[in-house]
Amino acid sequence: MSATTPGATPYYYVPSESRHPVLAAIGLFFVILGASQWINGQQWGKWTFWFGIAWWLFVLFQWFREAARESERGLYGRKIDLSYRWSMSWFIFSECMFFGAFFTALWWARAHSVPELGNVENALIWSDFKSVWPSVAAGATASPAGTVEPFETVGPFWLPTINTALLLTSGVTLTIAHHALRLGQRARTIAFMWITVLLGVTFLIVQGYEYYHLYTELNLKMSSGVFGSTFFLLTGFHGFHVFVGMLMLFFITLRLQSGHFTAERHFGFEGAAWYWHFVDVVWLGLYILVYWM
Amino acid sequence: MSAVLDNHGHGGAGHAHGAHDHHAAPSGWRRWVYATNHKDIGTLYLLFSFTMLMIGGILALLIRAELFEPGLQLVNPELFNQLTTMHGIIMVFGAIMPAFVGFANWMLPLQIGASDMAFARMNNFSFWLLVPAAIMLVSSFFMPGGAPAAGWTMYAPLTLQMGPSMDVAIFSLHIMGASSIMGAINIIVTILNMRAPGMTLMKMPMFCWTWLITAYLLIAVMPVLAGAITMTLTDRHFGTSFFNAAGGGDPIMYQHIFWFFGHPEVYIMILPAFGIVSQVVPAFSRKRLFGYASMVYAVAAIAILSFIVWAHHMFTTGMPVTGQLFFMYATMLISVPTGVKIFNWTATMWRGSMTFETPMLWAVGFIFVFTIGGFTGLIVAVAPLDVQLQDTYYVVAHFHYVLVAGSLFALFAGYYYWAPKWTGVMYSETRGKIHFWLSMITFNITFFPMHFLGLAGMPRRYADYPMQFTDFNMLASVGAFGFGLMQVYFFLFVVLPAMRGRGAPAPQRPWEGAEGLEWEVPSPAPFHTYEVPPKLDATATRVVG
Amino acid sequence: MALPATKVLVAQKDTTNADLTVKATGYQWKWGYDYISGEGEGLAFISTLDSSHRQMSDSGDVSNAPVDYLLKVDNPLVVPVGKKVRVITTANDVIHSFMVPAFGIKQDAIPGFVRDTWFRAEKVGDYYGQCAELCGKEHAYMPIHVKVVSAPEYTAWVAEQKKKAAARQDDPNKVWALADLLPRGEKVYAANCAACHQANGKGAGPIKPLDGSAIVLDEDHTKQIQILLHGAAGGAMPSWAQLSDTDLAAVASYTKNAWSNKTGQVVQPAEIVAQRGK
Ligand code: HEA
Ligand code: HEA
Ligand code: CUA
Ligand SMILES: [Cu+2]
Repeated sequence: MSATTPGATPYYYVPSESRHPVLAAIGLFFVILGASQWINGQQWGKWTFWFGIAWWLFVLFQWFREAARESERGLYGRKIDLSYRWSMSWFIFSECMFFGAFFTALWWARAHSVPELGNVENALIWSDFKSVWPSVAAGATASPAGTVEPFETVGPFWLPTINTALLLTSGVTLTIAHHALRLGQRARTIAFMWITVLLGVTFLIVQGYEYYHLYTELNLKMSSGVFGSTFFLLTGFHGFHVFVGMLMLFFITLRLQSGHFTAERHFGFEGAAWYWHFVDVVWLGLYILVYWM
Repeated sequence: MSAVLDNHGHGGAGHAHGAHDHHAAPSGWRRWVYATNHKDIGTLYLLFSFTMLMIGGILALLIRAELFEPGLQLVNPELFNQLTTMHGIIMVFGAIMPAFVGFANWMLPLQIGASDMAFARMNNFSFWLLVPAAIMLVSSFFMPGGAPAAGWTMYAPLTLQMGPSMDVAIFSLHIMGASSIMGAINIIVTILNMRAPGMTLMKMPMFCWTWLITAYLLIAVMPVLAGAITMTLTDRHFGTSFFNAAGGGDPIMYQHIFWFFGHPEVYIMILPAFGIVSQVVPAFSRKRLFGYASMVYAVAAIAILSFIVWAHHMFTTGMPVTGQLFFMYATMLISVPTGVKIFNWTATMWRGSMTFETPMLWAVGFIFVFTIGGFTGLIVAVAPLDVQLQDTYYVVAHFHYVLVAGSLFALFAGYYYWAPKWTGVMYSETRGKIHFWLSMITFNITFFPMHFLGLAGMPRRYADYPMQFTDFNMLASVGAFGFGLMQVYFFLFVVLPAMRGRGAPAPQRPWEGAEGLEWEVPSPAPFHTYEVPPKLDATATRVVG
Repeated sequence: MALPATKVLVAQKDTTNADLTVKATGYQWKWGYDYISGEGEGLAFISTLDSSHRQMSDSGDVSNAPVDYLLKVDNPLVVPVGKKVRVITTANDVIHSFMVPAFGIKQDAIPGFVRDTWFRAEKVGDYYGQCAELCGKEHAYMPIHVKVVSAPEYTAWVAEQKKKAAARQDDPNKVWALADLLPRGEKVYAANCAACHQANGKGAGPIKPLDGSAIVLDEDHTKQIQILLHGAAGGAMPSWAQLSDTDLAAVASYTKNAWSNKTGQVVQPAEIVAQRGK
């Protein structure tokens, strides 16, 4: 099927054999081999892990470049466009479920495990524990066994609120870029895309600074009992998704600069935008459930 | 399947031909390793899952050999737990799930008249991810401390005590999960977007319907498993206390999250089996499937209910009585849509002109034995009874009746039904019947006694047991070896000849009562099919132009 | 079907108005029983599988196995007949499950949390159960033996136990001679340690040998005592803090002098007391 005449959009484009999938899988083999050894204290694991990551990214880069080229050659008809839309929607749904697991953990800890640990029955085991949320104060209220060092929590002000503003703004600038693209104003699109990417980067910097502040001044760490666990895994995975979304937008911007996408057809752009909005919404959830409540 | 191997490109079905001419067909190792063809990838999946069935089966036989009589003769208790754990993980994630994906790859595009899967390269990526994960998993037996030994359910806090191999298992499951999610997205998109014109959703073959819903379940729950084991990972290495009461966490929280995945997971392993049986039963009854629409709704209902029953695995963890009642009622409800399916199959057979070729034998066998498994499921769904039976061999009996006699038997039915299309040769009917009858008998010898063991109170995951359980265990072990032997027979005398192209050439439509687009292309199915969407008749089972 | 089930379930969960409350704590791999309230309040002991059964299991030869193979324990749980007994379950390390099929009870024992269930034995006799939640390698070897006795027998048993307990209350400041401590240490070892480290102290597979171990031979006792108190290897070696100071001192002294470890060192209970706080 690869021999379709250039220019004519096939009914459905089925690529011929490709070396990318298997090479990407080999990359991930090194990643999991390395990661599983590294966290068990094997130094070679670290190198294997990074080698695998580099390999994998390199393959992905080639793979996506090939897909972008096919798209630009006009091989992707309306059907493929629709396939991409479906697949991106389902992928985002799976991401929602992933975050759902961690939000559930937060809810369970607040509504079930911590109160239960402090109830009359459990006084048999933890006689001094008083359950409060967030479980901050030293000794008997931070954790049943008194093993968690005292720490302070962060409220919504100011860093998280600034970050909320940053992300919301980036959503707006992204939408402006999208409108501009649809009107064919390429320069304006690119300008607003760069602003969006920069907002994303700023968010990450602020988040990094906040983590630094928490670790060094508030003594809030991953090991700060179940509060620290849920706090860092939720915000951490969100931060990672911001990073990935930011990379997507970055590459889309580069593609825009080299003339990819048209006013009518630009699913690569839209997919990245959906993802970015999803990351936004998750943040709002975090902002309310983790910082405010 | 090598009859397919040397047959590229040009099937006879003229309509299934692209306008453009033929191009260099892939050959040699590249054809498989770089595959983008749904049929080749399907074959890869099937071979992979059969290999894993063998590995998981050998582990099961080691378990059965150790349990033949009391006392430790072969393995120490530590290794025993590793065997149990790895048997469960390998069978569930390595054998059964990929086998159904293999069937989906082969059959979905053929059944809906599509040229291939929606994302051909991602399809191959899904497959190849399984290989590193499987290598890592199996090799964990040779790591310091041995393979993970906390059960396939990987309950915290026991997982927190495991050696480095636990991390290997966690990462492998992450990768397998990613593979499943991509595979599921691919399947959904293929079904939603690539049906030939005229193939409306409600005209789709049942196998497509069951896979559409299964894929939805996969996308919904695999990420949840990923979340649960990620928390285990950070508890193990990064000082978090999700599952540690000393830090305010809760081991039971793991179980809730795991079973939110785990229960839909068991339906992921049975719904495609329902699909296969729903294709085979009408074909050999020479009637259309009774109550097609109600079948579709039943599958959807099972899928939806499957999200609200998870805590029936946790009746003995000490949840409030209201919780137990809710999960008990919800679980009992599931038998209604399942009953609808059983009823519809029976009604399809009713007054049909039935013949019992091997696929039909497996399908009817499935209906019988799966129903037994379903009823024992209902027994354990009754919370006060489950309190006695939970974590005993009764549960082991239940889930092997639904998994082996359910999922695995349906896979065999599907193999005998479709392999002529894949390979271009007919299997030997005598051999198929031998395989079926002896498997059926030895299966029951293996797993039926386990009900009695469970009722007598023998706990599962036990390396050694008190004297009163000896007799039934001996029986089960003998049965297990017989059952294992039959699967070796299946491979050597049914699959291998087919792969080498031995046997009577299969006609395009080997089953007179079979309907569907897969029978509109020659046997073996040509490398490319339906490159241009076919024109269908009103029932969407025939190609008209 | 749902209706009768609901009734049974509600009754099953009703643990109020118990005559006797016992706490069952799951340890890897034995059960600890504390009589919390009712007649016998204050009694506490640990119940372990008979070590000869464990050895028989390892040998693979069960031709001479007794009828209670893998079910016999050193200290059964003793309860009076006809009384409502509430069992509170919890665990020390991983999840275990307290199961006695004859009473129709099974309740998971969850570390850090308490759960409960109840039973009322109608006949005098011996009832057996086993741990029903995978809890590590010796999961198959932590049986439960409930001995149901008549009310007067129960009262007598309680009195006897109280006496024994008083005798066991050794003074942790007593200074022991090695020869007096060794037999006691040997018993503690057989009951608690031999399952993993083996009677010959050689360990097996990932289980560290004690015979010739540098930590055991060390002149400085603190390391070994710390491991005994807090466990090691990520919990593969569990904590033994629940044993008495004298028992721990005895078993430490025993390992320092058994097999080829002829060090002549004595560990005194006071040393254990000193390390407990650290
Ligand atoms: C393919 C996999 C599969 C399937 C389909 C099922 C189907 C069912 N399962 Fe099973 N189950 C497992 C795989 C599966 N299960 C596994 C792997 C475990 C153990 C996990 C572990 O702990 O390791 C398990 C454990 C398990 C438990 C927990 C037991 C315990 O640990 O204590 C329970 C409890 O409710 C349960 C219930 C059910 C029910 C009610 C169904 C129902 O869907 C069955 C419905 C079918 C029928 C009822 C028969 C047909 C119907 C009719 C003929 C109609 C007429 C009948 C009536 C209306 C009653 N299962
Ligand atoms: C998913 C599907 C699946 C399948 C197909 C099977 C197949 C089998 N299983 Fe099961 N099993 C599980 C899923 C499955 N299992 C799960 C999820 C658990 C729970 C794990 C846990 O507790 O964590 C479990 C647990 C489990 C136990 C309980 C272990 C314990 O509690 O300690 C036992 C015990 O008998 C058992 C036996 C068997 C047997 C005999 C087969 C047979 O059907 C296997 C047949 C296949 C072969 C035997 C392979 C082919 C033969 C060869 C490769 C050549 C060698 C053979 C000869 C020369 C004879 N399994
Ligand atoms: Cu304790 Cu199993
Ligand atoms: Cu279930």
